Amino acid sequence: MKLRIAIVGCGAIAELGHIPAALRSDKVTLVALVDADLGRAARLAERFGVSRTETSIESVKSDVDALVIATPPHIRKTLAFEALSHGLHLLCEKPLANNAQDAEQIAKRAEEAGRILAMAHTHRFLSNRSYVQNLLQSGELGRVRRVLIEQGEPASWPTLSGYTYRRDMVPGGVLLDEGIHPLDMLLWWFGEPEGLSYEDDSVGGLESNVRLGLQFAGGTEANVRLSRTCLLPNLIKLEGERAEVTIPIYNEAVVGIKRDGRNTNKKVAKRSRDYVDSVAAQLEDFAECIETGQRPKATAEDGLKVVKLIDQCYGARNDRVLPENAPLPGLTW
Amino acid sequence: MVGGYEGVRVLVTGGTGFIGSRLVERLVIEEKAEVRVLVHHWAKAAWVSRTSADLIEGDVTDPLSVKEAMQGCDVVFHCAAGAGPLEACETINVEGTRVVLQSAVEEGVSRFVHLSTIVVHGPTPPDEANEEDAFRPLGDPYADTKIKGELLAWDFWKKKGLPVTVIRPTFVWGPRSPYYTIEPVQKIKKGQWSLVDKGHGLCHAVYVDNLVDAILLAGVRPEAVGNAFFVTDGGGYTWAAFYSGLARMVGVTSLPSASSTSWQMPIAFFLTGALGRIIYAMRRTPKAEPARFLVRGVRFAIRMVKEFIGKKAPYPRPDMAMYAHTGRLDTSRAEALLGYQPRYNLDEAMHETEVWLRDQNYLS
Repeated sequence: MKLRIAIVGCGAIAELGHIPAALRSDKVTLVALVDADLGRAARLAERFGVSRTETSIESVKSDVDALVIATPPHIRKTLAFEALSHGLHLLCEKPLANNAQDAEQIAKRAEEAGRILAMAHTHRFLSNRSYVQNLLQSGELGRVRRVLIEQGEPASWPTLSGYTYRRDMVPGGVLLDEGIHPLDMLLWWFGEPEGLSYEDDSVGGLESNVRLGLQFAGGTEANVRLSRTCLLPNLIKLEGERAEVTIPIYNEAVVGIKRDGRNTNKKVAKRSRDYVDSVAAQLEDFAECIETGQRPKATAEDGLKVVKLIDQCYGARNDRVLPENAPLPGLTW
Repeated sequence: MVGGYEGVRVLVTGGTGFIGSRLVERLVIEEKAEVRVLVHHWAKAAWVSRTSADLIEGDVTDPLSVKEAMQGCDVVFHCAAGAGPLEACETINVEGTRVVLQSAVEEGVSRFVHLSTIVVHGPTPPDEANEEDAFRPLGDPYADTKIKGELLAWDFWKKKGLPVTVIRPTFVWGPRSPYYTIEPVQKIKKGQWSLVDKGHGLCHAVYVDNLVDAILLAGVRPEAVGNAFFVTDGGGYTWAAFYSGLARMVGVTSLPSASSTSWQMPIAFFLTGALGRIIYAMRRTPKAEPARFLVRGVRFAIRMVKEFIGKKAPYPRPDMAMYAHTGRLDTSRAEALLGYQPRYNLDEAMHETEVWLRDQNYLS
């Protein structure tokens, strides 16, 4: 039987990801679109051929088994609590919440309610990320000495609410937004870090450039650079004692491997799926977990761990080092 | 720090753009002003959202959002501008300007600084031209609508008593400058950038932080009201010096040059224009082979020929004229009435720009 879902929040992520993914999947039935702005929900419903629109979870609670929460994070806790009180399963957009305290409460409430709460940590569904996870587990890379992540491009996501730039809606910028995926990968591959150093370029607002250093058990050092103002190489590089691995962030089908001085490009999937396909894979994993009772690929606990780490980063924040002899001290470019 | 802005409520339109975002940063961090920014596209707010400025969703063509953003503001910096097709330029540069001016009158703001452009005087103003020189419509949507927008601002000054000051910057460069820094650096790297007449033309560019100094002065100096100002880095360098500075950052020591007086230039303009139209006509690629292969091949070949011929005329006509121009600008009014002096000389500004370009991965 197909899982009956409603999508709560009709912003860009619903339009470009969750709605087309739900329509593409044969494991779910999209019952309704829910948004406080009924006009927006109606426009998307008409465009995608969804028959029902509502303004509240209350109105759909009896007709669905699960919700996709695709709203900005500041209202996620309220919505998650409400959904869980109606016994609904949840697939939550990232980040799970704006801070660790809220994230912890959501995770706890889901556990108490005995409902599945899966996180939209989409990168766990990408072929080259899983391939690396297997390499690490099998010990094929040897001890990993260093990880380098450089992820960035000038912001272009067509956000409707602009939440990721608004201090009234989020406590952080690029780290809390695009930073979730690379941090989730590091936590997935290496566990929780033992130490960190963090600097960003916020000057009273939300950061758009980040440099983060993490130390993991076994001596693995990770350096992460994130930007939403400039184009970076968009690569993840792992230097192991036995081999080096390079992953293009936006091409899941390929893994570059350097072993014994020889470079090879290993194809780990027939093609790099489009964004909707990876969202659909996540939705299907969610549906399957509800049916079988298995743990989702990214759980509430995983969501909580990333938010906790981000909280720690903001707590350890240092201003970005200025160019030497900067004629305008206090101003960073 | 210019001073006079501490605690003053300020609205910046176009505050997510290149010049506006730097103005916002300086107002918030250095001047301690209470700044509001009208945000049209959120994705463009990545720079300005780093500050504590209030970001208000809106659009200069929407009177309601402008009114909301302007409420309680004492100073308005109108930096919003549109480029592209005529309709878009008219909507933003003329009608949008009208909306902001009208709202400023209703709010009773004490200062209104309108950001115009040197282009209102055409690509080659006469030698020693000053701010009283005639406007010269170019037939270009951006330039012509900027003239209309500025005329509107003067109308509001004369008829409604709005205390307007107009800044007419020249070619604004430095960190985040799309046309006079990022694009040239990227093209110089690829060997696609040329000087005109070996770069002997006088470069009246202005480094963005020098310009922001002048804009800030314009918002507080009483003598500024009712006046327009040219702002440059002092005008003491050539295009060769300017572009060589950018070229050095990417390890390029000499740039090719095209002649503005070559007999080949009109032919090159004609041919590149014609080839451009052919490429545009062939923009759709058929799905089926062999037509797909053929179209792509022919298009590639035409593009190569266009690129080759284009070396004789690397820029549109007005830009070729601008680069070849050796006339000086009289910028004494900004010095006399605003007390403006360029804070950064060319070398210092190049250094700052290089640091930023390196940090933002443009030089690797």
